[in-house]
Amino acid sequence: MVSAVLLVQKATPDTITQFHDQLSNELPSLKGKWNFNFKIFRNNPYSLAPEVAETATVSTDAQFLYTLSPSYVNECTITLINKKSLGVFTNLIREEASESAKELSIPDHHLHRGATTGLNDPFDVFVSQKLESLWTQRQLIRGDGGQIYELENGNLIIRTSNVFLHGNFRGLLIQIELNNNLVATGDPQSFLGSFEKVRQKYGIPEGDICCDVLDSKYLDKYGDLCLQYAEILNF
Amino acid sequence: MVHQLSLVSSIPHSKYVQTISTLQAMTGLLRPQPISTYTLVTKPTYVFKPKFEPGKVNQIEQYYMKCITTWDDDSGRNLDIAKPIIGADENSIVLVDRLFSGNEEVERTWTLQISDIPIAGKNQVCSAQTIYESTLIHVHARINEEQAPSPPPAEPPVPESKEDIEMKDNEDTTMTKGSSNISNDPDLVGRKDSFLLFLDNLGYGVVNQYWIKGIRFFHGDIVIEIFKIFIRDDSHAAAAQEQQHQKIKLKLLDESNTFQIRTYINIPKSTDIEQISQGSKELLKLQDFLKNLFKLEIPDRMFMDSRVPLKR
Amino acid sequence: MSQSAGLIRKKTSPPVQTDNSQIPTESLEAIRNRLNQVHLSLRKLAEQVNSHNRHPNKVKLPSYAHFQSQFQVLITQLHSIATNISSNDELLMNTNVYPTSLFPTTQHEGLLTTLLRKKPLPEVDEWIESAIKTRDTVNGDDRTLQRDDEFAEWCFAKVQELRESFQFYGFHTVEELDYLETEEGKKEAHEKKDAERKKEDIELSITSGGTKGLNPNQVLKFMYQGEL
Repeated sequence: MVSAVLLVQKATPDTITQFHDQLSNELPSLKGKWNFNFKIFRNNPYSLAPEVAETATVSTDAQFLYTLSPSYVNECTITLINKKSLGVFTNLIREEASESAKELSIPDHHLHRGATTGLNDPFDVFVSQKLESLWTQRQLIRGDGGQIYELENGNLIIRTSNVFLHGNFRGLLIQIELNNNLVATGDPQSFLGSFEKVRQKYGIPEGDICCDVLDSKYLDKYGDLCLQYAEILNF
Repeated sequence: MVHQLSLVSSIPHSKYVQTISTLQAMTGLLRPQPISTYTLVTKPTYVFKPKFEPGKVNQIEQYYMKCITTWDDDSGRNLDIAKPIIGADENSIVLVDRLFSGNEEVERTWTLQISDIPIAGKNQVCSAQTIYESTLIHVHARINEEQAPSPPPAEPPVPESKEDIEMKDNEDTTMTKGSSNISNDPDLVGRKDSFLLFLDNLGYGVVNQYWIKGIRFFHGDIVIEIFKIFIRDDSHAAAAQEQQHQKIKLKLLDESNTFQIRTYINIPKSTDIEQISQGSKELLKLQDFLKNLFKLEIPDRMFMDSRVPLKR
Repeated sequence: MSQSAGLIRKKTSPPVQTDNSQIPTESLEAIRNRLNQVHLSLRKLAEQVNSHNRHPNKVKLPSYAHFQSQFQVLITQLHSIATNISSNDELLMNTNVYPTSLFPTTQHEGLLTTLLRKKPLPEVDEWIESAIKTRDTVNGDDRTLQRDDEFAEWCFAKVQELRESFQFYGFHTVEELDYLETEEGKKEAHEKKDAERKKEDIELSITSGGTKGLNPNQVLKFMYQGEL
């Protein structure tokens, strides 16, 4: 699955409802509601690299840690550091997970062999509580009232969500996911073209779109998604 | 978040069989659950120098973090902790696979764990500590071939005896990530090392590592763990064996073959006073019950402190 | 007037003054005490047995050990009464009891006759007769108490003798001790010591020279901070 994220910043209630109606006309199968939390952490300025620790009191470089927790993957947090390193964290243990969530869960033997106590916290909570010396939270972006539409026999999934930053509405976010056989996976540069085609077909309103990938040789579904969120939700 | 109440003890090798049979009879578990884990102890690479404002209390601390995963290669599975490991004996050599050498097919799950210092108090029945952890199931780090690869994790400031941590062996491979001289697909190698890179980007560097092998009994809510700790053997003789087998040789942390015992109860909420007091009572009962087998004691909280002291 | 009240041992002064110094108070008191105790133990025993008889299902008879200890107590008490009486025997034989003029004779006439009576009841007479008879003839044999005592002493001496042939301390029998003194015995003991020493050596090698294991606290420090 390759994904692209689009933000319609100048969305008015009219455009939103119009878009939803238009999509419904295509007779999609509705996959339910969803929401997400996107947190941006910046490195704590009082945390200094050892080389400069003697001389400086405040760090000058800027590093960012992003965490994305969409509700449609339960209990998972996708983390991206400096747009380079990605980690997918989860709290569920496979034996406790329901059928659909088994894909992203901790394998049972991890618990049985003693590597975890079984009571995990979501990673964003972990960072804000324990890694405060390194990362401080700067922004919290929430997406609410979202819908999931599945079209073309599951090859295309469109998710919509209303984005709020500190309570202020900032736009309509549209996440488009295309199945791998519909795009040329070997050539990430071509993704943009495919997504433009989708946009024209379904009348998606104008807005910034991002379909970057972390590593062109290795497509990572969640990692690329998080990267796209980070690029787009740059207020 | 886990609130953990615990008591510790140790038994010499000669008492192992007796202890195991007693616990088997007491808990009814004829085949206790085996424990085998590999842990990296990591420390923030950055120095934290908070500004001291008069009147404001600085609540932020830096912690050591443990990265735990399972130890399940052949040597982990076949190791029988009931047999003593004697240094000079040829039969008791433990060799483990190298973890970061790019040979793994399935991705490894890591749990990152940070614990607070146990609470202080008079008249304590057991040690009470809060543990925070989060588990990583997938890592990926972007390797740009154009630019120089991110430097291998900085040499951690450890005492000399523990210098050859695995990463040092991999320095060769990580260094040449950018070039295409290696026969392996550089991206593949890069991807396997990505956990260490992720850790580095997060701000932590590895300080030490150890392996644990043991067994676990369950008695009501209490978990009783009996285990031995292994560390890397860095003697000259060991180096030769490592070269020969391309594996790492382990030795016991505690040469006298003493087993460590930990009994604990995990409580999901640290605010649930009733469960905490009930848990403490159960631990106390267990301590009394087993007092002729081994003496369970409250661990000293200063030894369970994982805070990094602030550098002024 | 004084004669009609009975003989007195000594001539006393006119009835108003009574001299109590000649009354053997201590022995009388002692005997009275003992009699009281006997009376109490007998009553308690009778109660226990009777309560069982009345409610055979609810109350059990006291155990055999209980009966035996009670019996022992009674025997001791009776024995002390007998000794007391026999030691004061002259004194008591020459003493006569009589009521003084202060005693309200007319009101308590029945009590007076009971207190002054010397002759035992007919059933008591029967008991005494049968006891004496039993003592002389037991089971048809012509055994006297003296012979029983002799028998008991012989048993005691025999037990002492037997006891001396046993040794109540140490771990070996006399035969084993003798065996240990011989050549074979010595070799066996030596081998055993060797085997034990070998076991100890193995233990030492396991514990690498008997070094004490790491304290759990130190291990915890290593696990949390990476350093011992």
